[in-house]
Amino acid sequence: MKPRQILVNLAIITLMAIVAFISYMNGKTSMIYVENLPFETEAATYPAFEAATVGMEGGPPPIFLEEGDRDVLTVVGRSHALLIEELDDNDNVVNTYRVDFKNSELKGKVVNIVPLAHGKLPGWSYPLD
Amino acid sequence: MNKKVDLLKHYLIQNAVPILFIVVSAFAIPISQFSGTYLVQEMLVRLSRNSFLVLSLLIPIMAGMGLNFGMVLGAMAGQIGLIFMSDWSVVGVPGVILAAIISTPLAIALGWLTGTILNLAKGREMVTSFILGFFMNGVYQLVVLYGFGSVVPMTNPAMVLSRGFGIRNVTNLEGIRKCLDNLMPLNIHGIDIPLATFLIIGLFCLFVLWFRGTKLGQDMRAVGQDMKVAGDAGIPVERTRLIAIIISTVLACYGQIIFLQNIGTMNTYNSHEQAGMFAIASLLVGGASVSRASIFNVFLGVVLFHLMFVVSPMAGKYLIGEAQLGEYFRVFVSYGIISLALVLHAWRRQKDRERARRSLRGAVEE
Repeated sequence: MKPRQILVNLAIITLMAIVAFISYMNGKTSMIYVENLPFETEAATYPAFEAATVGMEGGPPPIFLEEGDRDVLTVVGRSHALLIEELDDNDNVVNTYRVDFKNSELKGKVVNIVPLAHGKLPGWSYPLD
Repeated sequence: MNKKVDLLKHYLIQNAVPILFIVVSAFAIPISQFSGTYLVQEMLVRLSRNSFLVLSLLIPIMAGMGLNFGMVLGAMAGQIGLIFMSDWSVVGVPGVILAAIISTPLAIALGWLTGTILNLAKGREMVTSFILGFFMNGVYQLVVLYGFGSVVPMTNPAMVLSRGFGIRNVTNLEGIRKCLDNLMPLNIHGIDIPLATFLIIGLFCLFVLWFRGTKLGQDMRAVGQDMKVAGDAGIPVERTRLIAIIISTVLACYGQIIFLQNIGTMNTYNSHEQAGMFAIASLLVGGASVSRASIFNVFLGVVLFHLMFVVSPMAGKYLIGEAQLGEYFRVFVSYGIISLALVLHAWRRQKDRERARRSLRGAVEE
């Protein structure tokens, strides 16, 4: 085999490996636990939402969380846009939040939507007990 | 006048199979009572699902290697890529790309193996590749049933049998289901057209057209016409045949991935078995022969063959009161057509030989 041929073959293999890696990173699914719990910081206390729907932008139908609930959400890729709709007693939308986060920002598999919706307060993500 | 009758006769003999299918479909469609919209939708879905697999058969025919029954090896490679993709929980178009990349080296290796064996069995390529498919099916089952989960680590316990190794009978491909078909959604008068899949198929058709004009493509055609003459002209016959089979196997692998992404579920141990048979039947129904096939034959064949699939059970139900009888009829006609096409090809070849001998004798006598 000529050196040029070897180089071309190596280039093709490298390109395929890179495309495979990018595909893996962008298509990999993982599960996160989403919960609607009250959140406390030294400065303030944030009560849980009366109820909320939580879903990924462009993803499957959102899940419904009442105060104190926890459910599972499947996320795809590295960066996500979470859509949270805060609901009142009659399930009317009170507030809508759109929060972007990346896998690298997650401290664990659990995400509390209350601090997340209030500007990603420290502690919004933590490991599962 | 006689010349015109001869021409018509020749045309009818050349296109006996598609004409037969068109006639049967023309009777079966009104009996089945399916609406035109439903049939068009079904045909579009089936065209997008099957065309790539059938197109993968063109290159070995060009190289004179007949119908590549060994394409099931490519389908197996594609399925192994899909098993890994499912195990790693990669979804959507990236999942399809990843499965294709994982299975490519495997398909190349299997294509090389097939090509090497077929070079040892010149003149008997079809039956050899057919039996090779059965042999590799055993190897595939051994690897997937015993190797996965024991030698090959699996991360998703839902895919593995309860004993701890071996993949379950059905692999769920819900994560990639119709991801290519729905990538560019197009709806015309209530008919969904899987535009992205058709674009890929269109690109493949362009590739086949371009490939025919390349040096390698010309070499393949020369080898397909006469191996000895091609060899004397300095064409590396065995290498050219090997490349033809490798290309076909890799394309069959991609075809199987496209096919299964449309279905959305994979029968781990059986999905590949019928890939070759259905693709070859489709191509033959389209009017191709063992030595001559075109892109037009592919699309005509897929439409006619699958029209029979859709229409015959319902036609059987309304005609005889039993859908199953229609299904039996379809199976009988579909597989009968493969036999008919092969017999017609052998008959035509014998006639051509006799004609050539007669003309040679005539030339000597003159």
